[in-house]
Amino acid sequence: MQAMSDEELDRLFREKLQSYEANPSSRTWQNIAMDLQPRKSWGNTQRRIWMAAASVVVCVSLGLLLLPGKPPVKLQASQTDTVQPVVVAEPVKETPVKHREAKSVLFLERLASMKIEGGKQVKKYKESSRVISENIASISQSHEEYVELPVAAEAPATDLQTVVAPPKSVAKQVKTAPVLALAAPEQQEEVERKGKIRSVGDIVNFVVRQVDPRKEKIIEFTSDDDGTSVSSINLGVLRIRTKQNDPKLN
Amino acid sequence: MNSSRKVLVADLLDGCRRGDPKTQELLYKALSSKMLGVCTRYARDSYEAEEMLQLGFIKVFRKVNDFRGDGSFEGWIRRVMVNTAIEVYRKAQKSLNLVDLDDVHNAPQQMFDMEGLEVKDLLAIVQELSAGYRLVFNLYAIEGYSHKEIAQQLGITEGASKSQLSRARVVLKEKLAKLEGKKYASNVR
Repeated sequence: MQAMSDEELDRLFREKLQSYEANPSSRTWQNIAMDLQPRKSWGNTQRRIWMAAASVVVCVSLGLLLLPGKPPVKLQASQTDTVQPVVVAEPVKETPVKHREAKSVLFLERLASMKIEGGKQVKKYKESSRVISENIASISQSHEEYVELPVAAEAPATDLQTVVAPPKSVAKQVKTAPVLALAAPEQQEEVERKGKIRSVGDIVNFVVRQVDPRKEKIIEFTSDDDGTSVSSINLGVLRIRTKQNDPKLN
Repeated sequence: MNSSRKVLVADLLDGCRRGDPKTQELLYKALSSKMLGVCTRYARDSYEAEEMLQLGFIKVFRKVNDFRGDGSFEGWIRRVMVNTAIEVYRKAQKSLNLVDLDDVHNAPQQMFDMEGLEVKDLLAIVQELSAGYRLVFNLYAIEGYSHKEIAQQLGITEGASKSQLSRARVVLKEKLAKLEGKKYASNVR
């Protein structure tokens, strides 16, 4: 037995208790594991919520991107069936523009080939137009491509009457009667027109023809001596058409 | 033995940093007995000790990335346990007066036979101390904290820490004497 100092007391407890160990109950670990788990599951649910939100955003943006693209896809699928009628129904308005060299010849030919009131006079006009074409072809050699009716009037007197007369009578009747285009010559023209792309407008027209099977295209350009300009726009509800491109005037 | 243990601890640390549940359980199994021994000294009973152990290990797993590798991983976990004990004490402090009312001044000097004392008895004596005495005595006598560190940790003055320690020592000596008296009495019979 001895009196104990403070240092001895501290050392006694330090030596005996510092390395003291005790086994915890199994419930303690279960509590710890449970406490750690909810955070993980919350993290997982958060991740899932973000994944769901992200996928919704992706779906919506994909839908927005693809929806406007659907109609052209459908049209392309039926392209093979519809291309031929489109070519036939194509207005003749661009013909004089793309074939400057035979401009007047083609114009008169077309006038002559028009069907007027039951087509009785068609043959007659066709014959006369051939004569006119031949005459004008000889004239156009000397006057090159810018031959017009007033110029043609300066041709020899024997030919003058035949040259001038038919267009006048045709022009009068065109105003009163509906006009139908003949398919055969215009199909040829269409093929030629497709082959010759001379301006940006022609490129757009070509692309639009491939995509839009309607008679009146979504947009159409006309090229003339002054340059290329928009001749018609067809947005379904809204249709804009310049006067020179109006089929009634052709 | 020592080197293999180091490798094991390093592996466990890596797994715990990844949040791997199996590694966390392995670490708990490896150190829970030792850490419960620490917590028991700071607790008033085994229930509170296990509560501290639970809180301490949860903190270890959540803050394992804060461990920079300065010193041993086990030493860091031990400090987490001690800090948890301090937090538990400080939370309970609101309803607890740090300066206990035990009148232990002028206590007579006790005589002890240290060889006959068992760990279990000593632990029981420490647990019987009031919370403030127990905490300061543990931090100073067993963990080796200075009064300055204790004052910082508990938010008290160094003088208050010294006062707590001296009163704790007086109570402990009294209790040891009683324990010795009981043993002596039982031996005489």
